Amino acid sequence: MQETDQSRILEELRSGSEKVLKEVYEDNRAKFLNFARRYNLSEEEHIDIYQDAYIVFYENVMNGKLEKLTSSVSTYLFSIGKHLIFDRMRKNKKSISGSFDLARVGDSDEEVNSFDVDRPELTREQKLLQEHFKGLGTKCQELLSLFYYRGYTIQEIMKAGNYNSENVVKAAKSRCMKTLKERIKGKAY
Amino acid sequence: MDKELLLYNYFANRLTPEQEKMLDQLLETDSEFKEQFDFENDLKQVIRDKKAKELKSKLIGFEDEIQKERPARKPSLGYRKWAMAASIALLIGLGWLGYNTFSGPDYGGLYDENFQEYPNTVYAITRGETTDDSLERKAFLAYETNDNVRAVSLFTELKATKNTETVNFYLAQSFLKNKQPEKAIPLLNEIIGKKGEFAPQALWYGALAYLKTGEEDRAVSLLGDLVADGRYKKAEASALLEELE
Repeated sequence: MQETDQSRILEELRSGSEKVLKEVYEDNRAKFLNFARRYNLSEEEHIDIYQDAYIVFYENVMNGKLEKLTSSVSTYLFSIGKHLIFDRMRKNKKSISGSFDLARVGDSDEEVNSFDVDRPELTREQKLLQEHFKGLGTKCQELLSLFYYRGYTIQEIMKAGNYNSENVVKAAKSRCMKTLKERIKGKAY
Repeated sequence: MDKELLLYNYFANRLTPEQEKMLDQLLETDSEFKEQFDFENDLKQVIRDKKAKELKSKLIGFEDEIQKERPARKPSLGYRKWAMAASIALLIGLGWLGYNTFSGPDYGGLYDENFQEYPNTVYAITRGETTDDSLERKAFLAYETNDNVRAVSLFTELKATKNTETVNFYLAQSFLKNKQPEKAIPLLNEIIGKKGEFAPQALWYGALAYLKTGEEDRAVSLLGDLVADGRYKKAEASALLEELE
């Protein structure tokens, strides 16, 4: 794949293109499923894992950890997928029967190792927090998502959200956080 | 440094190593700071979870569209009748041909039906920013990319300094993939003899290798051991045994 194509993919994903999101999903699907079939899970699990790998890839494109592709998108998906497949096999206690030193998987892959591949179930406190987060106004949700999900700086948020100054962003952010905290305190954990 | 700025830098992914140390220290000593950190970190996880769920449902939608675009085609009854008749005719023809051509069981065919390379489950290879230039990595890379001749030579080289069960198992696999079952057999037997972690897998691949070299008795004996062991490919081993017997 051309380098320009690759950087275009990242840029368009970051700008929220649904079309590219779907294209990338479709373009890499068959390759990934073929790769995953070697591990003897069910076809449904292969698709489920492909989607989860895609989510991790996407998240790291969005939060800026993956700034530039040094290999093709499919290579990243395979690499993430491998982590997920081993996790799944460990959970299913597949015939690999614990006889392999699975802890060594991923040793050589620094880039993907810096990604958060696991997505643990939310704790009770986090579920409560999520309820209140969803109850915030869209402007607050957007601002906090830019900061905590995308890893944007205040200055970047100012540009992305059409705020007049950095101070306005800071003030808005503190207000959103304050509202959130107050609402949670209203209901004890 | 301002505590608020420290948190800000942490969530904007721009902590310097020095600030990282400071953050760790504060987390241990300053409970108020820790509370604020935990709150913001929880918020981050909550937003991550929300975004992931939103994306997952989109992907499930894409998947549905793909499945709809490729419905399982059911041929019409008329076509099926003809197809069945043709298959039967073909089967009879082939059966007759097979009967006349082979005097014994088709070991090569059984081998091909059953052989599937064992996946690399011990060494993760990626082409990202890796500085790992080890012989082990090269060997597994050749293995995964089906460069079988190279895999044989690299695992052989590796075996000279690192004569482990894992290396022997993947060297045997590389021999099998390279259509040299006779070379794989002694390695697999060694693993079986030592009753190591790969022993059940070695029984299976050993049996297949014996099939390929036409040594049915030995294949049957290993398959029997594998069924008794029960940890790996038990159903496949039983089915193959039945076919051989």
